[in-house]
Amino acid sequence: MKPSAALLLAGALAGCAERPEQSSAATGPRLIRVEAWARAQADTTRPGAAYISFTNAGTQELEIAGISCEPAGMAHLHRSEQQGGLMVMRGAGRVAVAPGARLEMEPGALHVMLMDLAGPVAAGRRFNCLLEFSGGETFPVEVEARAN
Amino acid sequence: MQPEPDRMADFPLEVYLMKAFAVVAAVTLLAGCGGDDASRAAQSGAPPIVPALSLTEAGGRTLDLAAERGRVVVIFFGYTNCPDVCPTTMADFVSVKQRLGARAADVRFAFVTVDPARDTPEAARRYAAGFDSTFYGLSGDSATLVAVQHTFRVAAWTERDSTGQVLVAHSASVFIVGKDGTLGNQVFFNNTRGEALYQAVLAALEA
Repeated sequence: MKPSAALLLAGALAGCAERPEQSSAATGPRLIRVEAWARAQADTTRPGAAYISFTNAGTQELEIAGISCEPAGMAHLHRSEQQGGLMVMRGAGRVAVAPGARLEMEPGALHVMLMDLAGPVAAGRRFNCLLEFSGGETFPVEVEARAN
Repeated sequence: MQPEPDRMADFPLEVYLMKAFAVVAAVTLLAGCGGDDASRAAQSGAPPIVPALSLTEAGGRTLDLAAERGRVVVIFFGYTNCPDVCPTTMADFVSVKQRLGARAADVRFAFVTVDPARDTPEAARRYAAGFDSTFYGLSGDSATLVAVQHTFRVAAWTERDSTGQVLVAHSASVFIVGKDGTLGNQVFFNNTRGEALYQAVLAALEA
């Protein structure tokens, strides 16, 4: 699940957090208005979270099949949701983005749970995540860690 | 909400009591959704809610609401393995404290775990201190924590899903105990919660 060095490089070259348009390849998924951030975290014994939002500017539905992020041994899409007046976080299930639609990740809703952190994620640090779609396509995203 | 028989052996009785209580609490929360308890109590003529909490942090510092008259206490019930709502709320605490400036001296901020099986007192302390060294991070035995939640009219439950992952349900609201010890504004988790929390704390300080 770890992104390859080539893909990481592609991600770095493709753009950075909140760049209006990113595209991994001419024939790959076309994602625009990509906004990606993570909460800075010093403690590696507990999981962290990243939030990656984008608009699918392509002509095909994009179903997220997996995600990997550089500082995490494992990353999963999770969703926090209200249930009977209480907040519960669980696996997000199927997440698909129709052509022209936008996927929003934000606190208290859909997010990437970062597990098995290899080291602290300091504010200002930028790291790479790789979105994997059901058709086999991938898309690198640069994520910026913020204090709040 | 009834526990499945094959999971009964995995969890202590209090977990199921907590789950049962969660139903009652959820109904209570839903019935009063959208406002603050103190206002509702005043409007309905019901007596104000006076929550009780006395927990000693790892290291020996105790937060006892009964000893905090004259101060505002801001409390969140969460768990340290929560990567989304909990650190977001704790970051709100940091922001509110910064905005309060010198007035923050009259405010206590506390994180109280709902997951004592994993959150030892030291883990809870370290978690809260990671956001601000003055924040309380409190844990204890399940029965004590459930009793505390009860006085705030909230609940939590913990279970494992089919993959073995631990699911924790908890109130995402922040509770504010006024200078007179009564439960005041409850700030719900939404996109305006940061400003709402600041204004609620400010109002409690000026009450």
